[in-house]
Amino acid sequence: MTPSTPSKRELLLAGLWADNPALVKLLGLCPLLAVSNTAINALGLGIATLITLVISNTMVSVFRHYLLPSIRIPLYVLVIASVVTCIELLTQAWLPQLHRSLGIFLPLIVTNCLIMGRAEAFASRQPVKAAIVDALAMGLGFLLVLLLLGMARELIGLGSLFVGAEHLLGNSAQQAGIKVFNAENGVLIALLPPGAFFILAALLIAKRKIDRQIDTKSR
Amino acid sequence: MPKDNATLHRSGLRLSLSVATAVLLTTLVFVVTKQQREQSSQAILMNQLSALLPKNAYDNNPAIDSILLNKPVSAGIRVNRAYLYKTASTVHGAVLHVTTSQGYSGDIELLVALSQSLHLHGVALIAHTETPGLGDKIEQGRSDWLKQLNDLQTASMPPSSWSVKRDGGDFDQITGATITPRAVINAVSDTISWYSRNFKSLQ
Repeated sequence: MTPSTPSKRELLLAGLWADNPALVKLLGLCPLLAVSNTAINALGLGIATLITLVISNTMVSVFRHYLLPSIRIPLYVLVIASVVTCIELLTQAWLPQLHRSLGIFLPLIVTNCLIMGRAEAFASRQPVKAAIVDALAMGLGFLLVLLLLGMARELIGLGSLFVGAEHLLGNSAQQAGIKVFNAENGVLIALLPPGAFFILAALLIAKRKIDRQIDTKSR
Repeated sequence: MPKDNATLHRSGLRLSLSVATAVLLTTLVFVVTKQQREQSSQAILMNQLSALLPKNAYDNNPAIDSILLNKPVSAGIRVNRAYLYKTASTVHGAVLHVTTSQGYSGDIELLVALSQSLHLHGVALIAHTETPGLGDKIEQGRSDWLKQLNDLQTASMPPSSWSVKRDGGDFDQITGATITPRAVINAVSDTISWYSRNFKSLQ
Protein backbone atom coordinates (compact mmCIF):
# COMPACT_ATOMS: atom_id res chain seq x y z
CA MET A 1 0.00 0.00 0.00
CA THR A 2 2.73 2.47 0.94
CA PRO A 3 4.78 3.38 -2.12
CA SER A 4 8.41 4.37 -1.61
CA THR A 5 8.90 7.93 -0.44
CA PRO A 6 10.69 10.20 -2.94
CA SER A 7 13.63 12.26 -1.70
CA LYS A 8 13.35 15.96 -0.89
CA ARG A 9 15.29 16.84 -4.02
CA GLU A 10 12.99 14.80 -6.23
CA LEU A 11 9.92 16.37 -4.61
CA LEU A 12 11.20 19.92 -5.08
CA LEU A 13 12.19 19.28 -8.67
CA ALA A 14 8.78 17.75 -9.39
CA GLY A 15 6.82 20.63 -7.86
CA LEU A 16 8.87 23.45 -9.31
CA TRP A 17 9.57 22.04 -12.75
CA ALA A 18 9.00 18.46 -13.91
CA ASP A 19 5.46 18.05 -12.52
CA ASN A 20 4.65 21.74 -12.06
CA PRO A 21 0.94 21.94 -11.13
CA ALA A 22 0.27 24.93 -13.38
CA LEU A 23 2.57 24.24 -16.35
CA VAL A 24 2.44 20.44 -16.62
CA LYS A 25 -0.69 19.27 -14.85
CA LEU A 26 -2.64 22.46 -15.65
CA LEU A 27 -4.43 22.24 -12.31
CA GLY A 28 -6.26 25.14 -10.71
CA LEU A 29 -6.62 27.08 -13.95
CA CYS A 30 -9.62 29.07 -12.70
CA PRO A 31 -7.71 31.10 -10.07
CA LEU A 32 -4.59 31.00 -12.23
CA LEU A 33 -6.30 32.85 -15.05
CA ALA A 34 -8.81 34.91 -13.09
CA VAL A 35 -6.68 36.45 -10.35
CA SER A 36 -3.43 36.94 -12.24
CA ASN A 37 -4.38 40.40 -13.55
CA THR A 38 -1.88 42.15 -11.28
CA ALA A 39 1.32 40.89 -9.66
CA ILE A 40 0.14 41.66 -6.12
CA ASN A 41 -3.19 39.87 -6.54
CA ALA A 42 -1.31 36.89 -7.96
CA LEU A 43 1.18 36.90 -5.09
CA GLY A 44 -1.62 37.19 -2.50
CA LEU A 45 -3.59 34.29 -3.92
CA GLY A 46 -0.44 32.25 -4.46
CA ILE A 47 0.57 32.62 -0.81
CA ALA A 48 -2.97 31.79 0.38
CA THR A 49 -2.99 28.67 -1.81
CA LEU A 50 0.47 27.64 -0.58
CA ILE A 51 -0.58 27.99 3.08
CA THR A 52 -3.79 26.05 2.47
CA LEU A 53 -1.89 23.31 0.68
CA VAL A 54 0.73 22.95 3.44
CA ILE A 55 -1.87 22.77 6.22
CA SER A 56 -4.20 20.40 4.35
CA ASN A 57 -1.35 18.11 3.27
CA THR A 58 0.00 18.03 6.85
CA MET A 59 -3.38 17.23 8.38
CA VAL A 60 -4.25 14.58 5.80
CA SER A 61 -0.86 12.93 6.30
CA VAL A 62 -1.05 13.06 10.12
CA PHE A 63 -4.48 11.43 10.08
CA ARG A 64 -3.81 9.13 7.11
CA HIS A 65 -4.37 5.96 9.16
CA TYR A 66 -7.60 7.38 10.55
CA LEU A 67 -9.01 8.03 7.06
CA LEU A 68 -11.09 5.00 6.13
CA PRO A 69 -11.28 4.59 2.35
CA SER A 70 -15.04 5.17 2.24
CA ILE A 71 -14.93 8.52 4.03
CA ARG A 72 -11.62 9.90 2.83
CA ILE A 73 -13.02 12.22 0.12
CA PRO A 74 -15.54 14.00 2.39
CA LEU A 75 -12.80 14.33 4.99
CA TYR A 76 -10.44 16.00 2.49
CA VAL A 77 -13.21 18.41 1.58
CA LEU A 78 -13.85 19.09 5.26
CA VAL A 79 -10.18 19.76 6.04
CA ILE A 80 -9.66 22.00 2.99
CA ALA A 81 -12.91 23.94 3.50
CA SER A 82 -12.13 24.54 7.20
CA VAL A 83 -8.59 25.72 6.47
CA VAL A 84 -9.76 28.08 3.73
CA THR A 85 -12.55 29.46 5.93
CA CYS A 86 -10.03 30.23 8.68
CA ILE A 87 -7.63 31.86 6.21
CA GLU A 88 -10.46 33.96 4.83
CA LEU A 89 -11.48 35.14 8.29
CA LEU A 90 -7.88 35.98 9.20
CA THR A 91 -7.29 37.88 5.94
CA GLN A 92 -10.50 39.81 6.46
CA ALA A 93 -9.31 40.78 9.93
CA TRP A 94 -5.70 41.71 9.26
CA LEU A 95 -5.34 42.27 5.49
CA PRO A 96 -8.74 43.81 4.66
CA GLN A 97 -7.54 45.51 1.45
CA LEU A 98 -6.20 42.24 0.06
CA HIS A 99 -9.42 40.54 1.13
CA ARG A 100 -11.35 43.09 -0.92
CA SER A 101 -9.25 42.74 -4.04
CA LEU A 102 -9.16 38.92 -4.01
CA GLY A 103 -12.91 38.86 -3.44
CA ILE A 104 -14.59 35.57 -4.23
CA PHE A 105 -11.33 33.87 -5.29
CA LEU A 106 -10.15 33.45 -1.72
CA PRO A 107 -13.05 31.17 -0.68
CA LEU A 108 -12.81 29.53 -4.11
CA ILE A 109 -9.42 28.06 -3.13
CA VAL A 110 -11.60 25.28 -1.74
CA THR A 111 -12.37 24.20 -5.28
CA ASN A 112 -8.74 24.30 -6.45
CA CYS A 113 -8.26 20.71 -7.53
CA LEU A 114 -4.51 21.04 -6.92
CA ILE A 115 -5.10 20.88 -3.16
CA MET A 116 -7.51 17.96 -3.31
CA GLY A 117 -5.22 16.25 -5.81
CA ARG A 118 -2.17 16.41 -3.53
CA ALA A 119 -4.21 15.19 -0.56
CA GLU A 120 -5.40 12.13 -2.47
CA ALA A 121 -2.34 11.35 -4.57
CA PHE A 122 0.38 12.13 -2.05
CA ALA A 123 -0.42 13.14 1.52
CA SER A 124 -2.82 10.27 2.21
CA ARG A 125 -0.08 7.66 1.62
CA GLN A 126 3.17 9.37 2.66
CA PRO A 127 4.76 10.35 5.99
CA VAL A 128 4.22 13.86 7.33
CA LYS A 129 7.67 15.23 6.47
CA ALA A 130 7.43 14.21 2.82
CA ALA A 131 3.86 15.53 2.63
CA ILE A 132 4.99 18.95 3.88
CA VAL A 133 7.90 19.08 1.41
CA ASP A 134 5.52 18.05 -1.37
CA ALA A 135 3.04 20.78 -0.39
CA LEU A 136 5.80 23.40 -0.29
CA ALA A 137 7.19 22.33 -3.67
CA MET A 138 3.80 22.13 -5.41
CA GLY A 139 2.56 25.33 -3.74
CA LEU A 140 5.73 27.21 -4.70
CA GLY A 141 5.52 25.88 -8.24
CA PHE A 142 1.94 27.16 -8.47
CA LEU A 143 2.82 30.48 -6.82
CA LEU A 144 5.75 31.14 -9.16
CA VAL A 145 3.71 30.54 -12.31
CA LEU A 146 0.85 32.64 -10.90
CA LEU A 147 3.29 35.44 -10.07
CA LEU A 148 4.99 35.26 -13.47
CA LEU A 149 1.60 35.45 -15.18
CA GLY A 150 0.52 38.34 -12.94
CA MET A 151 3.72 40.28 -13.57
CA ALA A 152 3.50 39.78 -17.34
CA ARG A 153 -0.16 40.82 -17.45
CA GLU A 154 0.31 43.87 -15.24
CA LEU A 155 3.39 44.98 -17.17
CA ILE A 156 1.81 44.58 -20.60
CA GLY A 157 -1.65 45.76 -19.63
CA LEU A 158 -1.00 48.57 -17.17
CA GLY A 159 2.69 49.37 -17.63
CA SER A 160 3.40 48.85 -13.95
CA LEU A 161 4.73 46.20 -11.57
CA PHE A 162 3.69 45.43 -8.00
CA VAL A 163 1.36 48.42 -7.72
CA GLY A 164 -0.77 48.04 -4.60
CA ALA A 165 1.95 46.23 -2.65
CA GLU A 166 0.78 48.00 0.52
CA HIS A 167 -2.42 45.89 0.47
CA LEU A 168 -0.29 42.81 1.04
CA LEU A 169 2.81 44.03 2.85
CA GLY A 170 1.56 47.00 4.87
CA ASN A 171 2.03 50.74 4.42
CA SER A 172 5.83 50.54 4.35
CA ALA A 173 5.55 48.98 0.88
CA GLN A 174 3.63 51.93 -0.58
CA GLN A 175 6.62 52.87 -2.78
CA ALA A 176 7.30 49.30 -3.94
CA GLY A 177 5.23 49.70 -7.11
CA ILE A 178 7.16 50.46 -10.28
CA LYS A 179 5.70 52.52 -13.09
CA VAL A 180 7.26 51.50 -16.40
CA PHE A 181 4.99 53.39 -18.79
CA ASN A 182 1.64 55.17 -18.72
CA ALA A 183 -1.38 52.89 -18.25
CA GLU A 184 -3.01 54.66 -21.22
CA ASN A 185 -0.54 52.89 -23.52
CA GLY A 186 -1.10 49.44 -22.01
CA VAL A 187 -2.24 46.57 -24.18
CA LEU A 188 -5.74 46.05 -22.87
CA ILE A 189 -6.09 42.42 -23.91
CA ALA A 190 -3.45 41.34 -21.39
CA LEU A 191 -5.83 42.31 -18.57
CA LEU A 192 -8.83 40.52 -20.08
CA PRO A 193 -9.36 36.75 -19.81
CA PRO A 194 -8.07 35.98 -23.35
CA GLY A 195 -4.76 37.66 -22.47
CA ALA A 196 -4.35 35.28 -19.56
CA PHE A 197 -4.71 32.31 -21.93
CA PHE A 198 -2.22 33.77 -24.43
CA ILE A 199 0.42 34.43 -21.78
CA LEU A 200 -0.11 31.02 -20.18
CA ALA A 201 0.34 29.51 -23.64
CA ALA A 202 3.59 31.43 -24.06
CA LEU A 203 4.80 30.07 -20.71
CA LEU A 204 3.87 26.50 -21.74
CA ILE A 205 5.80 26.87 -25.00
CA ALA A 206 8.80 28.27 -23.15
CA LYS A 207 8.81 25.32 -20.76
CA ARG A 208 8.60 22.76 -23.59
CA LYS A 209 11.43 24.50 -25.44
CA ILE A 210 13.69 24.46 -22.39
CA ASP A 211 12.81 20.81 -21.72
CA ARG A 212 13.69 19.87 -25.29
CA GLN A 213 17.00 21.70 -25.10
CA ILE A 214 17.92 19.90 -21.88
CA ASP A 215 16.91 16.66 -23.56
CA THR A 216 19.11 17.10 -26.63
CA LYS A 217 22.07 18.22 -24.53
CA SER A 218 21.95 15.14 -22.34
CA ARG A 219 21.87 12.83 -25.35
CA MET B 1 -22.40 -8.73 7.09
CA PRO B 2 -21.62 -7.87 10.74
CA LYS B 3 -18.13 -6.87 9.69
CA ASP B 4 -19.57 -4.44 7.14
CA ASN B 5 -21.82 -3.03 9.80
CA ALA B 6 -18.87 -2.42 12.09
CA THR B 7 -16.98 -0.57 9.31
CA LEU B 8 -20.07 1.49 8.62
CA HIS B 9 -20.36 2.45 12.28
CA ARG B 10 -16.68 3.27 12.48
CA SER B 11 -16.85 5.45 9.35
CA GLY B 12 -19.91 7.27 10.62
CA LEU B 13 -18.37 7.86 14.00
CA ARG B 14 -15.09 9.16 12.57
CA LEU B 15 -16.85 11.40 10.08
CA SER B 16 -19.09 12.94 12.75
CA LEU B 17 -16.17 13.42 15.12
CA SER B 18 -14.14 15.14 12.41
CA VAL B 19 -17.02 17.41 11.42
CA ALA B 20 -17.58 18.36 15.06
CA THR B 21 -13.88 19.23 15.49
CA ALA B 22 -13.84 21.26 12.27
CA VAL B 23 -16.97 23.20 13.24
CA LEU B 24 -15.50 23.87 16.67
CA LEU B 25 -12.20 25.16 15.27
CA THR B 26 -13.73 27.40 12.60
CA THR B 27 -16.21 28.80 15.13
CA LEU B 28 -13.29 29.56 17.42
CA VAL B 29 -11.46 31.46 14.65
CA PHE B 30 -14.71 33.23 13.75
CA VAL B 31 -15.24 34.43 17.32
CA VAL B 32 -11.60 35.36 17.93
CA THR B 33 -11.34 37.45 14.75
CA LYS B 34 -14.78 39.03 15.04
CA GLN B 35 -13.71 42.28 16.69
CA GLN B 36 -10.70 42.75 14.44
CA ARG B 37 -12.77 42.07 11.32
CA GLU B 38 -15.34 44.66 12.30
CA GLN B 39 -12.60 47.16 13.09
CA SER B 40 -10.96 46.59 9.73
CA SER B 41 -14.11 47.04 7.70
CA GLN B 42 -14.97 50.13 9.77
CA ALA B 43 -11.51 51.53 9.11
CA ILE B 44 -11.85 51.03 5.36
CA LEU B 45 -15.27 52.70 5.43
CA MET B 46 -14.00 55.57 7.61
CA ASN B 47 -11.12 56.17 5.16
CA GLN B 48 -13.53 56.37 2.26
CA LEU B 49 -15.89 58.71 4.13
CA SER B 50 -13.17 61.04 5.39
CA ALA B 51 -11.69 61.29 1.89
CA LEU B 52 -15.05 62.60 0.64
CA LEU B 53 -15.95 65.03 3.43
CA PRO B 54 -14.20 68.36 4.13
CA LYS B 55 -11.90 68.06 7.16
CA ASN B 56 -13.73 70.27 9.67
CA ALA B 57 -17.26 69.52 8.52
CA TYR B 58 -18.01 66.93 11.19
CA ASP B 59 -17.03 65.85 14.68
CA ASN B 60 -18.87 62.54 14.86
CA ASN B 61 -18.07 59.16 13.34
CA PRO B 62 -20.32 58.91 10.26
CA ALA B 63 -19.45 55.23 9.92
CA ILE B 64 -21.35 54.60 13.15
CA ASP B 65 -24.08 57.27 12.77
CA SER B 66 -25.66 55.54 9.84
CA ILE B 67 -29.23 54.72 8.82
CA LEU B 68 -30.16 51.62 6.86
CA LEU B 69 -32.44 52.76 4.03
CA ASN B 70 -32.52 50.15 1.26
CA LYS B 71 -34.93 52.25 -0.78
CA PRO B 72 -35.39 52.39 -4.56
CA VAL B 73 -34.64 55.85 -5.95
CA SER B 74 -35.54 55.20 -9.59
CA ALA B 75 -35.33 52.31 -12.03
CA GLY B 76 -32.25 50.26 -11.14
CA ILE B 77 -30.94 52.76 -8.58
CA ARG B 78 -31.12 52.10 -4.84
CA VAL B 79 -29.91 54.07 -1.86
CA ASN B 80 -28.75 51.50 0.67
CA ARG B 81 -27.46 53.47 3.60
CA ALA B 82 -26.93 57.04 4.77
CA TYR B 83 -23.87 57.99 6.82
CA LEU B 84 -24.74 61.21 8.63
CA TYR B 85 -22.11 63.80 9.43
CA LYS B 86 -22.71 66.15 12.31
CA THR B 87 -21.15 68.81 14.47
CA ALA B 88 -22.48 69.07 18.01
CA SER B 89 -25.24 66.59 17.16
CA THR B 90 -26.66 68.75 14.34
CA VAL B 91 -26.85 66.88 11.04
CA HIS B 92 -25.17 68.83 8.22
CA GLY B 93 -25.50 66.30 5.49
CA ALA B 94 -25.00 62.69 4.56
CA VAL B 95 -22.88 60.33 2.54
CA LEU B 96 -25.23 58.04 0.67
CA HIS B 97 -24.27 54.53 -0.36
CA VAL B 98 -25.92 54.02 -3.73
CA THR B 99 -26.10 51.05 -6.11
CA THR B 100 -27.00 51.36 -9.77
CA SER B 101 -27.64 48.49 -12.14
CA GLN B 102 -27.57 50.75 -15.22
CA GLY B 103 -23.88 50.05 -15.88
CA TYR B 104 -22.46 47.89 -18.62
CA SER B 105 -22.04 44.77 -16.47
CA GLY B 106 -23.22 44.23 -12.93
CA ASP B 107 -23.84 46.77 -10.21
CA ILE B 108 -21.85 49.94 -9.65
CA GLU B 109 -21.57 50.97 -5.99
CA LEU B 110 -21.01 54.62 -5.18
CA LEU B 111 -20.69 56.89 -2.17
CA VAL B 112 -22.32 60.28 -2.79
CA ALA B 113 -21.49 63.01 -0.23
CA LEU B 114 -24.09 65.77 -0.01
CA SER B 115 -24.54 68.69 2.38
CA GLN B 116 -27.87 69.91 3.65
CA SER B 117 -27.86 72.72 1.07
CA LEU B 118 -27.28 70.18 -1.76
CA HIS B 119 -23.58 70.91 -2.11
CA LEU B 120 -22.05 67.79 -3.67
CA HIS B 121 -18.75 67.24 -1.84
CA GLY B 122 -17.77 64.43 -4.13
CA VAL B 123 -18.44 60.90 -5.33
CA ALA B 124 -16.36 57.79 -4.61
CA LEU B 125 -16.49 54.50 -6.43
CA ILE B 126 -16.74 51.51 -4.09
CA ALA B 127 -17.17 48.55 -6.40
CA HIS B 128 -17.87 47.81 -10.05
CA THR B 129 -17.34 45.14 -12.68
CA GLU B 130 -17.11 47.39 -15.75
CA THR B 131 -14.77 46.52 -18.63
CA PRO B 132 -11.08 46.87 -17.71
CA GLY B 133 -9.41 49.60 -19.73
CA LEU B 134 -12.69 51.19 -20.84
CA GLY B 135 -15.45 51.48 -18.25
CA ASP B 136 -12.99 51.28 -15.37
CA LYS B 137 -11.77 54.81 -16.16
CA ILE B 138 -14.42 55.89 -13.65
CA GLU B 139 -12.03 54.59 -10.95
CA GLN B 140 -10.18 57.31 -9.05
CA GLY B 141 -6.81 55.71 -9.70
CA ARG B 142 -7.30 55.26 -13.45
CA SER B 143 -8.39 58.70 -14.59
CA ASP B 144 -9.62 62.05 -13.26
CA TRP B 145 -13.10 61.47 -14.62
CA LEU B 146 -14.79 61.14 -11.22
CA LYS B 147 -13.17 64.38 -10.02
CA GLN B 148 -15.54 66.50 -12.12
CA LEU B 149 -18.21 65.58 -9.57
CA ASN B 150 -16.24 67.20 -6.72
CA ASP B 151 -17.55 70.38 -5.09
CA LEU B 152 -20.61 71.13 -7.17
CA GLN B 153 -23.33 73.51 -5.99
CA THR B 154 -26.07 71.31 -7.35
CA ALA B 155 -28.97 73.47 -6.15
CA SER B 156 -28.17 75.98 -8.89
CA MET B 157 -27.74 73.42 -11.67
CA PRO B 158 -30.59 72.91 -14.15
CA PRO B 159 -31.73 69.27 -14.54
CA SER B 160 -30.58 69.30 -18.18
CA SER B 161 -26.93 69.56 -17.11
CA TRP B 162 -27.05 66.10 -15.50
CA SER B 163 -25.87 64.04 -18.44
CA VAL B 164 -22.67 63.63 -20.44
CA LYS B 165 -21.81 66.22 -23.11
CA ARG B 166 -22.74 63.87 -25.93
CA ASP B 167 -26.29 63.75 -24.51
CA GLY B 168 -26.39 67.54 -24.11
CA GLY B 169 -25.26 67.78 -20.49
CA ASP B 170 -22.29 69.24 -18.61
CA PHE B 171 -20.12 66.21 -17.92
CA ASP B 172 -17.22 64.70 -19.84
CA GLN B 173 -17.73 61.33 -21.44
CA ILE B 174 -15.21 58.49 -21.66
CA THR B 175 -14.04 57.40 -25.08
CA GLY B 176 -15.02 53.79 -25.72
CA ALA B 177 -17.40 53.58 -22.78
CA THR B 178 -20.80 55.17 -23.29
CA ILE B 179 -22.92 53.31 -20.80
CA THR B 180 -20.73 53.45 -17.69
CA PRO B 181 -20.41 57.27 -17.34
CA ARG B 182 -24.09 57.65 -18.18
CA ALA B 183 -24.97 55.21 -15.37
CA VAL B 184 -22.84 57.08 -12.83
CA ILE B 185 -24.15 60.55 -13.75
CA ASN B 186 -27.71 59.23 -13.72
CA ALA B 187 -27.25 57.59 -10.33
CA VAL B 188 -25.77 60.74 -8.80
CA SER B 189 -28.45 62.99 -10.28
CA ASP B 190 -31.33 60.76 -9.16
CA THR B 191 -29.75 60.39 -5.73
CA ILE B 192 -29.58 64.16 -5.34
CA SER B 193 -33.24 64.63 -6.19
CA TRP B 194 -34.22 61.79 -3.85
CA TYR B 195 -32.06 63.36 -1.13
CA SER B 196 -33.60 66.83 -1.55
CA ARG B 197 -37.04 65.30 -1.09
CA ASN B 198 -36.10 63.05 1.84
CA PHE B 199 -33.36 64.86 3.76
CA LYS B 200 -35.76 65.81 6.57
CA SER B 201 -36.60 62.19 7.26
CA LEU B 202 -32.91 61.34 7.64
CA GLN B 203 -32.35 63.67 10.60
